[in-house]
Amino acid sequence: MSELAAIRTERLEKKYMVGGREIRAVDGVDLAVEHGEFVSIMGPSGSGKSTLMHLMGCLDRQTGGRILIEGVDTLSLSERQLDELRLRRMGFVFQTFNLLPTLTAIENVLLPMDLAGVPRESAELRAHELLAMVDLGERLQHVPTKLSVGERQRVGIARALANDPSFVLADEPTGNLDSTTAGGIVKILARLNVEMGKTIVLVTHNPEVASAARRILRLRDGKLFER
Amino acid sequence: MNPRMPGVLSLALSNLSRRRVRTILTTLGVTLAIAFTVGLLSLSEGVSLTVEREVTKLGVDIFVWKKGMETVPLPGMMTYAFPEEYVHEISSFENTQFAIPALETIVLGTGGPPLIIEGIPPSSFLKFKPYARAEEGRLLSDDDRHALVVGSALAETSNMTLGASVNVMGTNFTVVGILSSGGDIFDSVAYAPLSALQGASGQGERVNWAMIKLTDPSAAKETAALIETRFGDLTAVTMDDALAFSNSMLGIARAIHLSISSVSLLIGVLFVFATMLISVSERVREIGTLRAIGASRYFIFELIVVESLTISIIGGALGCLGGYLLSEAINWIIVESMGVTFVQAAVTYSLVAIGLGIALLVGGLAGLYPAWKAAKLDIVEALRYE
Repeated sequence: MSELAAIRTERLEKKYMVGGREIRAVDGVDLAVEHGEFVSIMGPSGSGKSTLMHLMGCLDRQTGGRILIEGVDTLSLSERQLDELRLRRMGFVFQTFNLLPTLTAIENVLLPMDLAGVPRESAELRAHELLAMVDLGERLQHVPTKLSVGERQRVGIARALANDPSFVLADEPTGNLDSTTAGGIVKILARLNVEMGKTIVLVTHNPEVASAARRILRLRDGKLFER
Repeated sequence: MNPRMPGVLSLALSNLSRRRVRTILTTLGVTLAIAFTVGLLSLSEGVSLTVEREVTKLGVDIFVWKKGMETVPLPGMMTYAFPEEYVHEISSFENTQFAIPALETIVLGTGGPPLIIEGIPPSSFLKFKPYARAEEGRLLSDDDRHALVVGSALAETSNMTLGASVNVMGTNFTVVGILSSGGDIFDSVAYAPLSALQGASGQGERVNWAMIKLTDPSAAKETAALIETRFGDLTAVTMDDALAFSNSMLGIARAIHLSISSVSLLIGVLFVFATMLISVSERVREIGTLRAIGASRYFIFELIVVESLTISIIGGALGCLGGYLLSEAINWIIVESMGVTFVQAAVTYSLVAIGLGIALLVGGLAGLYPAWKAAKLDIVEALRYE
C-alpha cells in the first residue's frame, strides 16, 4: 500500500443511534484502493456497503477514523472543498440513475461541467464524446423518461465521467437492471478501468457483477474482509 | 436543437416548466396581487398629479375659507359661508392685488351627477381663470343675471346645450356659454354670477370662499397670517400650504391603499411560498443528486430563490399590466358614473417600478425559507428519500 493510494481508509467507523441502540454500519474499515484499480465491495443488504460508499464519496462524515483521498485527510477539508472534490475528482453512478428528469440526456451530462465552469463549447464537445462512447450518440435530446433503464444508466455513467474524475464510485449500478442490461453496464465500467485508467469502486450484492473486478472485498456487519 | 447549458437559470426554468399548471396558477396569484396593488396606488398617484397640476395652474396665491373646513380647496367641498364684506376688506390690504369672492353650491337631483356651481363676479372670472375660452356662446358678462357658463366635461356628461335651462333651488338659470376644455377640474364645474347665485341659494351677501392674488407672492405667508388675525373665523391657505396639505393627505391615502393591498400581497407571498415548499419536497432526491455530483449548498439555495423570483417577476410584470388595465377601468367608471374627467388614475413609471419592486420582494421573501430548507438537506438522507 503506497502512501498516495487513490482512496485510503484507516479504522473508518460510522455509528448510528437507532431507537436508543447503537448500530455500527461501518466498523473499523482499513482499505486502500490504488490508482487504476477496479475494486468490488460485496455484501448482503444492511452490511454497511452503501454507508462505506457514501463515506468514501465524501457524501457523509464518519464518526471515527480517517479517509485520505490521494493523501488528503477529508476531515481537513471544508464543506465547499468537499463539494469541489466530488465535482472534479469523483464520478457517482447510482442504482436509481438519478438523472434530472427535466433535462435531456446531453443536458444531464453537461450539468457537472457547467457546475465546474467548463466553457460551453468544450463541454458540448465532451458531452457528445461521452454519450457516443456509451452508444447514446443518437439519443442526445431524449429526456430520461423516453430512455430505457439501460440507456438511463449509460447517461448516468457519461455524467459521472463529465469532469474527467480520477475515481468512479458505483453504488449498485445494476440493481435496477435485468441481467443482460446489467452485463452491458458492467462491461462499460470495465472498459473505463482498462482503457481510460479510471479507478473504480463498485458496490454490489451480486457476485456475478462483482466478479468483473480484479479485487473483490466482502463487507459483513460493517467489517471488511479481503477475499 | 441546441442543448441548454444547465446553469442556475435554465435549471430553474426547466423545473418551473415541469409543473406548468402550478407555475401558471402561482404566477397568476402574484399577478392579481400586484395588479390590485398597482391599481389602487394608481388612484392616489392620479389624484396627486391632478392636485399639483390644478393648484399651480390657478392665477391666485391665497385661498380663504371658513375655519373648520380643513381641506384642499377642490370644488364640491365648500359648505360654510361668511360675509362677502370680509373679501372686500381683504381687497384693501396692502399686499392684495385683487380678491375674488366665490360662492359654491351643489345642486342635486338634476338627473345627472351632482352639479357644482361656482358663483363668481363676472368681471373677476378671467382673473381667476385666465385661460378660459368659450367654445360655444360666450363668457359671463356684468349684465348677466341668471346665466350659466358650463365646463366642457359637464356639458357633455349632463347633455347641456346653449339655451338649456337649469333649475337651481327653484330659480331657472340659462346656459349662455360652454367653455373649451382646460383638461382640468374646472371642466366639470358651472359658473354663475355671484349675486344671482347668492339670491337663488338664499345666502344673501355671503360667500364660502375667496381667492386672493398678491402683489408680492413671496410674502404670501405673512399676508395669510394677517388675514387670519383680522378675521378669527377664516382660514387663509397659501399655495405652498395647499400643496403640502394635499401631499400629506395623499400620503395617508397611499398608506391606506398600501395597507389594503398588503392583504393581497400577503396572499401572493403565501402562494409562492406554498408552491416553492411543495416543489422542494418533491425534489428532495434531485437536490441530493445535485449535491452528490458537486453542487454546493449555495447553488441549491440560489436555484430555489431564482425559481421563486422568476415566478414573481413574471407575475409582477403581468401585474403592472393588470394594474394599468384596472386603472383604465377605474377611469372609465369615474367618467361614466360620476361625470368627472379631471381626476385620472395614473400608472406612472415610478408606480411600475414600485410594482416590480414589491413583486421582487414577494418572490424573495417567499423563496428564502424553502431555499434554506433545500440547501440544508443532508445529502445521504436526500438520496435515500422516497
